[in-house]
Amino acid sequence: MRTKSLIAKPMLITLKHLFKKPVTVQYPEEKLTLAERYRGMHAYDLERCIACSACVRICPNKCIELQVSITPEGKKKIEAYNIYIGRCMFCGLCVEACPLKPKVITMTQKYELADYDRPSLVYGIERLRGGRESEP
Amino acid sequence: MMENPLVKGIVGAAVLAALISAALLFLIWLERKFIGRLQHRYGPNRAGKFGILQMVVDGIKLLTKEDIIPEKADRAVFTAAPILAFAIAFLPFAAIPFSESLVVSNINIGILYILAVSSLAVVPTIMAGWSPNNKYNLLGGMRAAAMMISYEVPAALAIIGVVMLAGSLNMVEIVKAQEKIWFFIPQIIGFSVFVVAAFVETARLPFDLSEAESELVQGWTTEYSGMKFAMLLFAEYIHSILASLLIVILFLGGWHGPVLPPAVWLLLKTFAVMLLLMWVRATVPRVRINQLLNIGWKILIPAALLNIALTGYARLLLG
Amino acid sequence: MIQEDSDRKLALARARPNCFAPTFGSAIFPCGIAEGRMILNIGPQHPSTHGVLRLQVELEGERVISVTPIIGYLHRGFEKIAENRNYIQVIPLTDRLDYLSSMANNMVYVKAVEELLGVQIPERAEYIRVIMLELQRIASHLAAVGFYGNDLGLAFTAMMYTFRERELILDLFESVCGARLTYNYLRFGGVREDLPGNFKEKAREVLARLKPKIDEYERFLSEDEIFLMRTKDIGVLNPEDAINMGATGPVLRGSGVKTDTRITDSYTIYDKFDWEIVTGKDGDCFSRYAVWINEMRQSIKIVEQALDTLPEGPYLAKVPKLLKPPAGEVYSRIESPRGELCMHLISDGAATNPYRLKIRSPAFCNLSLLPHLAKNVLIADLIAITGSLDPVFGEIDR
Repeated sequence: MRTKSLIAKPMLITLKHLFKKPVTVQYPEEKLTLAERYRGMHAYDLERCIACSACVRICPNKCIELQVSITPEGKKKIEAYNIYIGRCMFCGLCVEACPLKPKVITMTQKYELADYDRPSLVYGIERLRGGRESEP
Repeated sequence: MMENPLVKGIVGAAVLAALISAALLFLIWLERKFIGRLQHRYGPNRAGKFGILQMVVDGIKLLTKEDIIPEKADRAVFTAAPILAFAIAFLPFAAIPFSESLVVSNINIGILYILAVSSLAVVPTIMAGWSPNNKYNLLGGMRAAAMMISYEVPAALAIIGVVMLAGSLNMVEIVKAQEKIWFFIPQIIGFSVFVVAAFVETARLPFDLSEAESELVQGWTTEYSGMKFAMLLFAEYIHSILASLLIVILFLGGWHGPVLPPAVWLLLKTFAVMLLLMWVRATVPRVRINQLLNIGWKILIPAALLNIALTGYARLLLG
Repeated sequence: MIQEDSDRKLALARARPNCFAPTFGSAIFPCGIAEGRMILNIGPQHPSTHGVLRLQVELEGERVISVTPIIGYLHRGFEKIAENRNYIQVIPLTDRLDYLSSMANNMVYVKAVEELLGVQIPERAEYIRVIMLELQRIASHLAAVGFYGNDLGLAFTAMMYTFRERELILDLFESVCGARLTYNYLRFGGVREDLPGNFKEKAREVLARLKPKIDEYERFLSEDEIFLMRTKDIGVLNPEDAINMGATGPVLRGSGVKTDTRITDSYTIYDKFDWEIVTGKDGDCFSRYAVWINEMRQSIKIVEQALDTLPEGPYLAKVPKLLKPPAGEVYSRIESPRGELCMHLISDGAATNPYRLKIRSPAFCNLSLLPHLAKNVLIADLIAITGSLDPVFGEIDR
């Protein structure tokens, strides 16, 4: 294995790369196409949710908050559904736990979630609206 | 008026300092870009077209950064080291001929002067290594000193072969003597020795042991920040330019070349040597200190001595 | 490894003011150090400590007299957290152990629980698991080779090249489980989702691109004289010491010991494939690096065979969502890219969370060899040896 080409072969390899197009992606302008199953920001469908709180129970980081009140007719009414995205680790267990089909809580391909303060990292029903289809 | 040595000196120094600084900014940008492409990535491309303004932006950043002096540092030495390093780095250029007439000071012992002042660079290095009271700086400084001192010997010995062929210590005369044949052909051993020694003197990969960021964090410049760091960085880079220029002047025929004006030829060749330096930097890992010193003392010095003997013998034979 | 006791250290430093380096004194040098030596702290913030390793090095000039690794800077209390989570909630946590090989961490935990439950795993799931684990091994070794180049002072070149190919594998993972690093993919009794439709073709494409690239890395590094100078005969670990001191994985095999949990335990379906255990010759840094390179080739072989024979069928066995395994304990082990990764899981039979979960991490065992390997070497060698042990701190500190 020991060769006496000193550093000639490695030099040729680096030289070869000089003439290739760089592989890095120029991020803000150019973005990678994400996989279909990419686990990004959540989406939540209030209309179909049955407030079973399976997602709340399974979340390892306890970052989902569901407030339910009972209407005079004896039905469950969802008062609030908040995801503390700053605590979320995007494991996707909540999506798996959802008993409905199609799932009420899904994960979108949105991943640029930086924000200026902690309160804005709490995503309520309005900000969680819109599943995969409505993504640009 | 230009015959007045004082005026000539001041004008030459100003022009040289300006030119080298400009070249420096361009070369650092080029190196980052070139190494980026060798590594299959873009390199700087945010500031300006092709990132050409990157160095300006970095310069502003370094200028506006807080200048931290460690509490237990020797303040005077700590502050003096970058200034000294920067100043000393410029000194050898006074005797470098860019063409037959374009030389600030055409002294008879040009090459000796260059060797002498460039070996001064070890002083600020030791100062920067010792003064901040940081162990990484100290280790880096000691390494740098060991490297510079042990590789000055083979470099000087390799130059002796050139001087024997040219019959002069004057840089202009040395280049003139290469009119027929560039010295790297008759002096192939000396050339190899000098190139390796020059690489080491520039403290770049694979010989950047004094910085060795994977071992010594940043080596002898660890505690420096802001403008002081920039000056040390520039000083190191000027050494690279000097080494490339010396390789070209001593072995690659200086400004000799067809069609183009002599100064352009010299710069082009220097540029090519710089590119080689960058290319090597992107390709190889770092050698270890004991290996480096072994190469210097056990291979290069005997080779350089052999080269002197052979050159002398050849001169005797050929008259 | 010594967790330093800062109070005691301070007291000692005060009691002996002529101590050479009182602020750096530690449990191993309680009364200062000999004349002409100095103590250097490498890390936890240092360019080549692979995360947050701290090395307390006693130096004589450049020569390393002794080295003490100090760990714990990335301790997150994983084992304790696991005691307070449901069985299924532990899976995403295991992703964060060895973050360069999350799939293997998933696997060892899932395997432990399955052994506790006694679940039969569908054949397709076994195949998918093997494909994922071996792709993970390639990805992890690619990262190891790249980082190793950095440790030896290569200006990022090897890392750019290896990460370029690692990215392809991560793309595959992303298409399968939606994440590039923390997969949370394996489930008790199988895998979470079936492979996407075009996975086979895409995986074959990636492997075809990978093969010449691995040869290229080998040309780039193994035929570089300076790389050889830096790695040959450095940090030599002889086979007896390797076994006695508990080395695992590429470090153990680099010393020439032919053992691999994939063969000795033959978990999942590794025995169905045609591959062999890679061993090194000399037990030095270069042998360990060569094991990485050759193991990648073997992994490619395994993945190709698994892709060819991938059966149809269910990918997940019927396992209740909220697990309550019977009382008992299991000790499950697999071959993670870094070596033998084991989990000791105890269930009390009454709770939906593990009673105790202990992890034996391979990187920890390998790192504990460092004081032995890095005796009487130079600082540069110390870094080269540390890199060749490939420590990952998510796993060591847990």
